[in-house]
Amino acid sequence: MTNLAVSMTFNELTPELRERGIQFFQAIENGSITGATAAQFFFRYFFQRLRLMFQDEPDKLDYIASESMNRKCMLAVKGKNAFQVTVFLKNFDEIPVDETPDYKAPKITFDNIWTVFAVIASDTSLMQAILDKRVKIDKMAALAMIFLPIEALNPKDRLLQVKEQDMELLSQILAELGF
Amino acid sequence: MYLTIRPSENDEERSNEEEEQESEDEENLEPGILPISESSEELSLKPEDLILGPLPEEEIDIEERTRKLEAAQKVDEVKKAEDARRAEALRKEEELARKIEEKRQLEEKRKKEELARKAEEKRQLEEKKKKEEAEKLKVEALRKKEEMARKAEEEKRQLEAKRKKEEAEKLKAVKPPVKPSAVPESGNLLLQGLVNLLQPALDIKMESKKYQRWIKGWDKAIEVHILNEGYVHVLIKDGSMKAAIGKALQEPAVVMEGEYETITNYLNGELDLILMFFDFVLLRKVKLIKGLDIKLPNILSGNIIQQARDLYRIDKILKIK
Repeated sequence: MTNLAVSMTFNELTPELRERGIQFFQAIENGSITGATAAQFFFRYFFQRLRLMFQDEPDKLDYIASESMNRKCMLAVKGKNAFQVTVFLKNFDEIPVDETPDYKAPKITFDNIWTVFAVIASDTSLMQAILDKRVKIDKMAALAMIFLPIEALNPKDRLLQVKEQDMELLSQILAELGF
Repeated sequence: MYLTIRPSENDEERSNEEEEQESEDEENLEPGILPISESSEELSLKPEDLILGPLPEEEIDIEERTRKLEAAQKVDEVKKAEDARRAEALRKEEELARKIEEKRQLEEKRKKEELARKAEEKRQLEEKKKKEEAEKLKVEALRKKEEMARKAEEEKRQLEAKRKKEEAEKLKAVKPPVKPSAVPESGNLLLQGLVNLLQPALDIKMESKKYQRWIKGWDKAIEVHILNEGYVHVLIKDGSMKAAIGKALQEPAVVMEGEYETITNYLNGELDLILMFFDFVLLRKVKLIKGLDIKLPNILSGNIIQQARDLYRIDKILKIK
């Protein structure tokens, strides 16, 4: 597992999940999956993993929730079938996505959908992608309010410990989306 | 020579002097002018009907007149030639102006076309590059997928028993769950998060020879004071860079100060270092407390150039971009 930052730490996918993940991202690329669904997948998987990581420490989970929830964030993906959506982090289970951009919200822009996959599949780190200019963050200060507390709690070891559950969660989310 | 036709008066008493005069006139007629008798026949007039006009001019007058006429003709010709020359010059000027204008328009058109062509080429190149990058990532993902599938299949077939054993060992090796604890000792998750964000960026940058060359021989601490939050610092020493919470343990070479939002945005490259030098431009949002000593001795000794160069490098090192 690569040393990642901005809390975007992900486990290496199993071969089976990698294949399903690729199918899902191909569907996003060819437009059969909307940007809103893609964003929902991304944020849902990211935040619901935190519950696994902090299952023994509910106080920290509560702290993370208090810091990161009820905030807006924009996700934009360029390239083929580009999209730009606004995500409202309501709670860990409910993450509504609005296809209308909210330009006041902080924004993460990926240069293409396969960069998102590369980060989720741990093929590259988000930091490396940022330094390679494949990912751009606007209004870092606002975004950091969401992610820095998670980063500070250093969940990397925890993530490794809960790898199996993490893969199960990803499998479940993909299955719900039909992949 | 002029002839005047007068009505016939049938006057038979014309004086001899007049007859003589007539004969003299006829003799003085210029070649090409018919004598009156011949003209009168042609015009079917009687000779009596024709009377010569005014007295012929003296030869000298005729010459004078001819000369004047010739002179006038020459003047006229010169004038016409001059007019023609002017007209020709004007036409040439107009032609030249028209050609210049045409050339200018052509040049302008060519430049516009060139610009448009270049812009289109640039756009196509960028598009191609993006497509290639996306394709590359996709191919890489597919390749990995195939590779992993192959490996997994192989492992499944040949090392089933061994894998189970390894899994059991791995489960044993897994660290016990971390006991519930409060937030980090620093108590400031934003600062800790910032440090955790900075460190991987510094680690990645340190893989680059350019940054290794830049910090060779450095023993510098860079301190960032985030107002109402606290301090973080980066220690650059022995070819490595470490980010940590708190004030630097050694005298910092550079000290910056600003609010959390401004500092974070700066680290993300959303603010420019050059503007930081002129912090009044940013209404003193980010202050460079230490690092650039603008004093006359420093300017004269050239130290300020060294300081500016170091600041430029520190700026590039700290920014997450």
